Amino acid sequence: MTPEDIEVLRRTLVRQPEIVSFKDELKLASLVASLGIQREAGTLNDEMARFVFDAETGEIIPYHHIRSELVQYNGAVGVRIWAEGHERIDLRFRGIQPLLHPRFSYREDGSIYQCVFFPESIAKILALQGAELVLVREWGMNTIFGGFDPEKHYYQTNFWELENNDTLRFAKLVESRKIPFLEPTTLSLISPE
Amino acid sequence: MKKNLKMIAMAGFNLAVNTVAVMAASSSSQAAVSNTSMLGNNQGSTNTQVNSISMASIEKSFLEVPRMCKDRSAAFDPVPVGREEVPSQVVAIHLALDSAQGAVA
Repeated sequence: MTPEDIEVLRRTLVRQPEIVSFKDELKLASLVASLGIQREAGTLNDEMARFVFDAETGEIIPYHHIRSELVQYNGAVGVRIWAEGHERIDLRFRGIQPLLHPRFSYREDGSIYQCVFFPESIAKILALQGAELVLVREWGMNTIFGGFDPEKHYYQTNFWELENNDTLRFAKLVESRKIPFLEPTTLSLISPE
Repeated sequence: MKKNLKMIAMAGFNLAVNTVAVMAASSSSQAAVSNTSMLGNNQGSTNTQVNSISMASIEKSFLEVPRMCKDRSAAFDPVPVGREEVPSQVVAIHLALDSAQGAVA
């Protein structure tokens, strides 16, 4: 995406309600979520990285080996995450495998060579459990469109969360079975199993 | 930003549940206080007891937070999971993208 594309996306998001449901704004929400994940992957803020191991050596893969890009498939926007120099990856995080698109993530022998997520599919998977995938507009504005710096640790944003009483907002959303899509590990709250 | 938020949220849930329980207990006690007051008992001393029970319970709930956070953190430690079974309904959702109308692959 070009800086102009991102600015258009930002202006579109800012006009949305406080809580943006994937049900109502599937394409917009999918693009924003994919962009957020793509930008965090392989940085200090990549919270999925600590679950990503090399399946052959059993060692954790250094986060700076992790790469990502936006992908599009039959109109669906998603994100592809892979680890440079690692042929097979072992995701040591229960509940995440069902969220991967099987065709693009697994080899025929069942090993995982990359992670391809399509947020719109994840929204449908969560709907099976009676949960609704949402974006919190302000979180998107603060992180994705708020001058995201991959060199800075998320502690900076944690203060922002405290000031905005986001714990309460998060709790209220989860109480009403709305899952804010921040990253794949967020979905551990409701796994499709 | 997220892991800490989740941990705090979960701790907050438990704390809220405990606090609600304390409030419910307090309400019952206060109702009892009103009744006994009508009967001419010493309302002041009963209120003191209610307050001390509430504060102790609330304090206990707060003291539980670090342990709950630690437990929650442990739940997020990497664990080998092998190949996970994917429900057929979930597979169908993924594969539906293959036949979706729209843009270029």
